[in-house]
Amino acid sequence: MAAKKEINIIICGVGGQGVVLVSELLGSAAVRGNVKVKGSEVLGMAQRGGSVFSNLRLGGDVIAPMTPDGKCDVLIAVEPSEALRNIRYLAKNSVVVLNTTTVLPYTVFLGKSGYPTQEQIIKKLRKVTDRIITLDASGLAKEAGSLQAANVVMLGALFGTGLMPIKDATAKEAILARFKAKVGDINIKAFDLGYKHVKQALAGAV
Amino acid sequence: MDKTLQLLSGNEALALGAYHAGVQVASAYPGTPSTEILENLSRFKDIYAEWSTNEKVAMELGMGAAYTGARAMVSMKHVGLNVASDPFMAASITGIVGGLVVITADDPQIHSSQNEQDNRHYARLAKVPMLEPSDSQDVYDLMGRAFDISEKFDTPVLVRTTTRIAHSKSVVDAKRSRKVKNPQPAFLFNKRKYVMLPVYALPRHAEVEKRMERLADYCETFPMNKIFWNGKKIGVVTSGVAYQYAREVFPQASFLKLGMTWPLPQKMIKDFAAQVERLIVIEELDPFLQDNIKSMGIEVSGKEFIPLVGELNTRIVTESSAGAGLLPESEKGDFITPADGLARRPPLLCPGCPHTGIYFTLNSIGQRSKLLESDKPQEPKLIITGDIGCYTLGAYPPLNVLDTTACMGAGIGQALGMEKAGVKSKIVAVIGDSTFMHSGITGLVDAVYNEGHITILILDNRTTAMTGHQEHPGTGISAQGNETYAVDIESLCRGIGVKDVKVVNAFDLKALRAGLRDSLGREEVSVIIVRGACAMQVRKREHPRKVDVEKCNQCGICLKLGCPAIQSKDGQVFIEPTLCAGDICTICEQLCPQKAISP
Repeated sequence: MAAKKEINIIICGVGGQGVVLVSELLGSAAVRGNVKVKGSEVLGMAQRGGSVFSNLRLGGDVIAPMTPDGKCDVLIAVEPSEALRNIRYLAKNSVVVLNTTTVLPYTVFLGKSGYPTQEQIIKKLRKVTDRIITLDASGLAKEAGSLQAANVVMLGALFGTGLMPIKDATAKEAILARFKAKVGDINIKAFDLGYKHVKQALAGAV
Repeated sequence: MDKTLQLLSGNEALALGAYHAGVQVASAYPGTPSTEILENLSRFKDIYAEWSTNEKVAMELGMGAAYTGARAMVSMKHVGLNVASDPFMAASITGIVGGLVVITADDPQIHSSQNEQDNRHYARLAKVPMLEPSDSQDVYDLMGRAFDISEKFDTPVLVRTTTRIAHSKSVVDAKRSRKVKNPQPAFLFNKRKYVMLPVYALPRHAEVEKRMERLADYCETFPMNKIFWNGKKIGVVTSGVAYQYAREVFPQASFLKLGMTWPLPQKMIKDFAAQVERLIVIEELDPFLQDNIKSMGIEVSGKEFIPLVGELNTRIVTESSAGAGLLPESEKGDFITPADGLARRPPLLCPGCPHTGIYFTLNSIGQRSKLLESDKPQEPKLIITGDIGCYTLGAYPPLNVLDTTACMGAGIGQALGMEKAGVKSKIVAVIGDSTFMHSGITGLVDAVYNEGHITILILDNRTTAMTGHQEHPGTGISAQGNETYAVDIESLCRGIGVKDVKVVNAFDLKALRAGLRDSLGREEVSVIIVRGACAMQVRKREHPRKVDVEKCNQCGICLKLGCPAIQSKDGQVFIEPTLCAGDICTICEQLCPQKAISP
């Protein structure tokens, strides 16, 4: 048998959206599930409105901490245009999950640059893959009980793809280890809502 | 789950590895990507950990501690070692007693630095052994050996990481537990070792050369210099994170992975080279391994196709190796080019940042926007020399307020240099509180002594903000969270001999403008301490400001503050209430000519 193939996951967004937390929860779930994991973050200027990028590589053999271009299996964009910034990492037929809530760069307010519409973003991504799912993570987070849980909705969405080599229950264990009672419950609900949305969207696409 | 397994960043693994190795004294100055090492160590209450004033002091502290037989560790970013290089060289010649481990965290690709230097050269320059880990487990394991090597060979040991090692996470099996080798340190009189008068220093140099010979023997059997045999067509010598990329790109090749990269195991490399058809080196930045292997008389290539600039990744290693005929062209793959035309997200000063008001004032008094309008190089009406910290971000639009940024503390000396060269423009040096402590003080002494006429703005936000809010000598809190003395910047400046020292509220636009105008008119060194706490550290955010659409005439001046909370939609400016810092700031409210902004 050939070398075991790893699953490469990229989570991107902008400072303040909780990208690093999603990455930490996923990493913690991987360790709990005895899945080999390596990862790397580029924080940019996380708290200063910059782009934030995190990648995790699950399973597989000796590998670098950075997903190579063209090898990303699942891209989770907590900010939709950030998906385009990381398009070169996408493998053919990879899964892209886009949050529909945008965060406009300051240069747009100064009239120095434009911002793509959701249709333009999807059109560009379609050059690489048709498996693009959009979801209103903020709306679902509100439904779960806290706007701040939008990032965990996106984590649920990631597991909803069915591509994770980690059990769903293990991911929830990682969430509950991180958050106390009530916040834990809200985040589990957020996870479930994101999970369900993606699962249904993928089923509908087939 | 195995209880000893943890997912750790390189910096976390380094702190844990040092703690288990029995480190007793740890010192550092914050700097990306090294900061989290001391942050993690400072949580262990059974060691002494401090934020030092700068890296030079940190190194001197480590040296002193090691002289007593304690195990000491000093950590810094690559350019920090430039600052600390004087005591580092001194520690090499005196040697130590207790283990002294020096961490240099290099930043290939300049993720957050002012240059891209390769600090491996320091090991050769200082004649000390150097260890290079390639993931978090390596970091942890090497820290278990670094102190032993230091003590065995009577030398500081340099451990070199890079951003991708420091900030990448991988699983670590942390099986060791803490052991302290020398619980009661004591300094023993030995002037031939510690007093580097010429008469004692020359014999010490001879000792250092003997030490290098012993280390050259030792590294041949160092267990973390490892050969992984596979196909013999290509043999790759590599270290650090480059090993991970190379291993992924050349699954069929044989590998010599070096955990110790100075001195180099000459016999091991020769044997390895003799058994492969072609020997290549894959390394980031300079041809350090390659040049040293070449000087052994071994045929080797690497930098002929691997780039000198920037960090590596699997794509770069693949494409450059394919270009050199080491991989079939088909391996290059069909890569999608990054989406073009996408708006960049330059980092901004935060909502409520105490730098915004003074920067807006500098921009306006200095008529800085004119500088960007002309294609020809312009002489600024007001020259603003910068320094290193969050306030360096003021160089970006819309503020455009910095003319220079070189290294920690450089702005004051640069300003004086321009004045002495005879420029006609007024000159202002801008420096943060932590940077002023680090290396601004000596520049200020120089400006007073040599009768400068420059104005120095000390942006005092009461923290080391850029690296994530570390304490410093002005904050009154130690690295381990205890209350301590706070050095008073105002008295310090007066003590140095500055006659005109003003303290101005960072959130009072009128006072900032008046203070700056007054200082610029003076024929003497003038210091303005612009004081206002970092917005990230102020929890209370009450009464976000709102724009009255009836009063607003869309002049757009508030957008020139570059505040992330001030946004516009369909031509109408609005303030995002979840971002606005509210009562602590009010800069936009003070600025608005139409009085259209209020709580």
